[in-house]
Amino acid sequence: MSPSRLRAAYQVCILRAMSIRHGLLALLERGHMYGYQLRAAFEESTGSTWPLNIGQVYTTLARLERDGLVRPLPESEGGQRPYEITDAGRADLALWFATPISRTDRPRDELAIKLALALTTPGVDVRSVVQAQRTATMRTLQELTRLKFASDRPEDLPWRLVLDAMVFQSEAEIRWLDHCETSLVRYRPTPGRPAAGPPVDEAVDRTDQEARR
Amino acid sequence: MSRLGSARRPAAPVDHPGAASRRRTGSRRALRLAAWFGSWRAALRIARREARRARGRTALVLAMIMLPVLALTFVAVSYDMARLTRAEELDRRLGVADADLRAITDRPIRQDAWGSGPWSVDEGTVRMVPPGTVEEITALLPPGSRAVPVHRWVPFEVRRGDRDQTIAARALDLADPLARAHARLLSGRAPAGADEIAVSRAALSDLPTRVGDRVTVADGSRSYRVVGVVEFPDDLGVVVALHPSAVGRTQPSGDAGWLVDLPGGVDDDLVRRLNAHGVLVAARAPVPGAPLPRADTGADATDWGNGVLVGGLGLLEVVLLVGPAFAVGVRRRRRDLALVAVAGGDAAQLRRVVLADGVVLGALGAAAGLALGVAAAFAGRPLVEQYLMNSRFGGYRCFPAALATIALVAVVAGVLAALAPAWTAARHDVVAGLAGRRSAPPHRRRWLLIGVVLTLAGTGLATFGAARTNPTWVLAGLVLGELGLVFVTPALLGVLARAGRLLPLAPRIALRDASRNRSSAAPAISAVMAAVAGSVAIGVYLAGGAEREAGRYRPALPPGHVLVTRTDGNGTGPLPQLSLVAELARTQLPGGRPAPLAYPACATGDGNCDVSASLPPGRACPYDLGPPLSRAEQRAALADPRCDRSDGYYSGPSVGMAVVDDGSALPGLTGAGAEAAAAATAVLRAGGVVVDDPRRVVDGRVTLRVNRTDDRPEPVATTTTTVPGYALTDGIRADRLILSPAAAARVGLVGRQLGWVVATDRTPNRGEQDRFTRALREHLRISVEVERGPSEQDRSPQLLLLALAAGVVTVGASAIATGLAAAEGRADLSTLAAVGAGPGVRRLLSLCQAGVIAGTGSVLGIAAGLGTAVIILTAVNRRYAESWPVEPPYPLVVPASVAAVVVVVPVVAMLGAGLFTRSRLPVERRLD
Amino acid sequence: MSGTAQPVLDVRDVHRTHGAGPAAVRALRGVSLTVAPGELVAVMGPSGSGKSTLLALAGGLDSPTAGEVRVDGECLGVLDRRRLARVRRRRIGYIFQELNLLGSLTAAENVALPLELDGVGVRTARRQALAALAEVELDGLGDRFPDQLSGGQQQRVAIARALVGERRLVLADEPTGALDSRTGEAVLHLLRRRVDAGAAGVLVTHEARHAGWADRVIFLRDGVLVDSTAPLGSVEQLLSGSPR
Repeated sequence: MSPSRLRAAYQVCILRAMSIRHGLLALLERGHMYGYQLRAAFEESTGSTWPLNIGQVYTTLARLERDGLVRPLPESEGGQRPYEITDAGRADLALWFATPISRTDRPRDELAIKLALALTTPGVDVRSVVQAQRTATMRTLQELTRLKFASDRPEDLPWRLVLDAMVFQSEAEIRWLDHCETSLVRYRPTPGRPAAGPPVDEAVDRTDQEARR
Repeated sequence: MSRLGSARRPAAPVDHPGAASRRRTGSRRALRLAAWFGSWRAALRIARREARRARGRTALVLAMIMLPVLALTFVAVSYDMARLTRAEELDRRLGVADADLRAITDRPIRQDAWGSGPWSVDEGTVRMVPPGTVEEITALLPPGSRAVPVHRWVPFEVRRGDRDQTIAARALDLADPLARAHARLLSGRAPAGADEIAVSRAALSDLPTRVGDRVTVADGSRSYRVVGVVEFPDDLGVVVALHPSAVGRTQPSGDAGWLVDLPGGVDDDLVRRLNAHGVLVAARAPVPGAPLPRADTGADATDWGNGVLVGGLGLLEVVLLVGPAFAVGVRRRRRDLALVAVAGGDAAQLRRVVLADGVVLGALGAAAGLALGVAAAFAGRPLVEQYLMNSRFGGYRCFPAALATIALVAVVAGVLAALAPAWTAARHDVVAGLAGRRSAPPHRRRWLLIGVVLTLAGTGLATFGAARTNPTWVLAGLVLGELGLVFVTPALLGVLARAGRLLPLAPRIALRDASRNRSSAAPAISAVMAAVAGSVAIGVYLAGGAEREAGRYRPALPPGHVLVTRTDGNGTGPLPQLSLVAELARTQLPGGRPAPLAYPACATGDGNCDVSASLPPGRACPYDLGPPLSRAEQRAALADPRCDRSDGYYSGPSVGMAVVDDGSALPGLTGAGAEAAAAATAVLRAGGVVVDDPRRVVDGRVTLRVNRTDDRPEPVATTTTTVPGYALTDGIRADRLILSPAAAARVGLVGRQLGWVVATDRTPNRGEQDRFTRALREHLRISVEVERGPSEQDRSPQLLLLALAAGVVTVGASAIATGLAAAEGRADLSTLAAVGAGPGVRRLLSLCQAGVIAGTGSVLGIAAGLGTAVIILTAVNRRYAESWPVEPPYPLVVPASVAAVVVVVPVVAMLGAGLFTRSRLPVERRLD
Repeated sequence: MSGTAQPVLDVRDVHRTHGAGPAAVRALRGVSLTVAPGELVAVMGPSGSGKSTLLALAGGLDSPTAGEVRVDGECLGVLDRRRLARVRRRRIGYIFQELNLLGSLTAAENVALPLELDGVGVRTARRQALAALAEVELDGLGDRFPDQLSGGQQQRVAIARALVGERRLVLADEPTGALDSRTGEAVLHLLRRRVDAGAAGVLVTHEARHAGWADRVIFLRDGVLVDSTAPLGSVEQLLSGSPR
């Protein structure tokens, strides 16, 4: 087990969840840095999975400076201008840490879309899709748990919490898949019609029937 | 509850006195009252629903409250129906007659208004001839009156096997409505002549006889023909109804008289006239001119006190038996109760919810018990009349006062049983209750203290009461002591559970369970304890009493020896030869050796001669048995060697004090050893006498005193003679005087043989005695008595009943507690099964749980019972030790039946619990 | 974790039907499962899928309508109730969601229970029990009664009991059900450690998070085994690849 790798994975998880803006703020919180340093640190933390060009760094820094969250320092002998975080920046960063990330912020629900598509596409065994997905997620969950079990030193706590976050996300996914599976048991697509749901008139009928009851 | 909450909110302070404040106070009181009612209503509703939900437990509690109520109701109603009102009593006595006259005595009397109560004889007046025939009584009555004779008791002797038996007989004309009163002719006809009788139904089977048969009296002098079957409502036993002509003139006594029909009513003048002739008058209305008797004062305070205490003990027992069920109910409903608390119920309201259980179940049990009891009493009336009361009841009625009391007591029992659980319920931790956790309520040292104090106080009171022979105080002390032990039991359980650490698994779990569920285990143990303690204490007392009585017994003959006495007429006819008697005795009795037995009689002339060996002055005890002695005198008497005699009683064969014998009957009479008997016989041969009290022999001589008496109480003549005497101290000592024929002749007496004394090798059994009697009766009318030692006043049924009652309570209490523990412990059993407990463990556990209850209860009960008995007996004995005449102390005897039951019952309870428990553990679910 | 070792639990094609006729409920329909020493298998499925029936069969508390169950190579079907109880107390450790401990016994006594039932002397059993308690980090609490322990502590006592002696099969039925997630996790941690030390474990749960602790997860639906995850590699293998 290599601690540096663990540290790296930790960074990934932290940075994945944050915007570049708050990422840079967070890096500056460690100490003052200039543009290239920031970019290198950013890429190191993301394991090079999130390439960032230097232009993005400077644009973001400029915006941060405009908002009074960072402050440029005098140029060094190498002609590089380091930035340091301001009190307002620290406050902003703290506020961000304190604010829960809303589910809608997340860009994807690819899986949900995939399942919805599978349902409406003839010839696809949705149940096996669900089961395959669940087995895969379960495996991920097992892996995460195994990682967690392996890191039981007190200083690994932040790391374990990150793993927990992912464990809980996987768990939620499995529960959702379970829910899909039980819902599928009752689902009977109407033959000869696009299986997009009950037609409007039929739905009206049913409501009427229910009303009459 | 919410309404309650608002009611409890403190009202705004009222700072100026006046109408407004008064109104507000009034409305506040009304609110508080409404709240109280509301909370009780809610509590009762919860209790009702709960009773319906937990059917098993409800049935158990109901049964336990209902059964005693049923029994008490049955007794109370039957008693009330059997107790005749004065009107019923008079009606039964008079029938259609106007008055009941009884010739009481041969002097004028004064009577009370009812003619039943005390009457007094005018002393000092001349005796006259009381009316004895119908004519004589009619002469005293106004013209136009009619009187018929009614004899309410006439001796009637019949032979039953080898014994003569007197049965009740009446003489009245059953054909006459006036005489018949309430007697009913069931079949046949009324006796019409002196040689006809009617008999009661019981007599038909008892005699036995049939209508048309003949019944012969014991001495064979008369024989009657049974012509009918009759029922007298006041006596359903064996009764024979004779025709009045079979009885002669009415003798003055309370048993005979006349029923009369008077043209006018009973008047002052008539009563005076009849009273003057010794005739008592009873009529339907109070007799004019006679004082009304004072009202009956009823039972005295002591009886009441004892009744209340015994009832209290019974109540305690019911409370202790029912209590565990409520405790379990509370435990089951911890969550509900916590919810009530969350909804704003305060401790009082929580208590009320549990108390309401007691009220509801007590009331239901009482209602059911009353209904069933009254129904049973009404339905069982004929049986009770026939077999228990032996007389017809006055009518159907149900004693409302007693029933109300019983019902009240039942409800009180229910509430009392729910009291302790209610207190615990109010103390429970609400949060723990909501979470379903079980927090054992902390045991309060206070209760232990109260228990110890109560026990000590009870012991003290009982000792004090015993020392003063005040049964009420003794009982009160016992009740207090038992209450104290009830309070101590939980603490004791805790100690036991701690001490049981190294026990094997099952008993350890059982002990710990009992300790953890103290609220239900402790009352069950206490119930067992109370029952066992009671039965042991009473058993020891009764057994000690029996032993003590036996110790006072003075045999008249050596044990097993037989006395044969002639019972024929005047006893002057010829007796069978000794050889014949010897032959019969040898063949019928174990080693029977008869010797003729003769009693002294006046040698010449009429009258009775009574001989005794006089006690020389200075040798007699200076203290008299008659008047009570002071303490100092008693102590002096105790220290005096001349006064060592204690009171004894004789109930064996009736051998006379003085006997005339030449030495042949002596061994059979006294059972003295050969050497002593030879010495005594030598003295008799030499013309002396033998006594068994050495104080009567002075220098080898005994002074005889003979009193000759005739009809008058004073002796006509007294003779004193001194003859050689011998003190026979060997064998039994019955203060007997044996005269040689020569010595008898010297004092003007002669021996008259009245029977034989038969020495035996062992005590003959009843069969041998009966066979011997029958064989000898062919030659002479005799009676045969055997010295069987102290009569076994057979207390064993009482003791057995007591022990059985304790046993039933023990088994019941352990069954209840074990059942409740089993219901509680299902989860534990599942765990045990999963952990790998074998199928027997569940049984073993039940067995141990029953054992904890029954065993602990029995051990405590035995200790408490023995302690009680020791306290009482010691106190009584201490007092006896200083009393003279010497009272033998009560020995401490544990009756075998009680001991056996007390030891056996817990084992039975345990085995029963083991047997009735399914061995399968609840989670096990197998296909086999 | 080597596949050559004899499985501790071997369930072969078991069926279990409750009741008969039209009312019959088929709780299990041909389920097979083997658990090797050092392996923890989680059984997942919704309520009524047959998880608990499977566990009861494995523990000898229930017997299959068809198929056979072997524990350490011994077939449970041929044993009578008495012998079955012996197998339970010698080879199998059972942990429930609740109702785990006898309230009348102290923690140490609860742990010693299977030993005592097996006839081990009180003192020996106590010594072993205290050692087992120390292993679950409950040193010094041996003489407390369950009432005086927290939920997590109680469950740890139950685990100590399930593992005391030489048990090789641990059956856990929703062992964390009544606990908060932190405490529940500690309990699973403990279970995991014991399995790594050589026991075989079956964990019935309906929470994926808890199933994550297993080496293998099987899914039951209506009495049929529908899916199963492949065994995991080592931690190093996991870390060398992408975390996701």
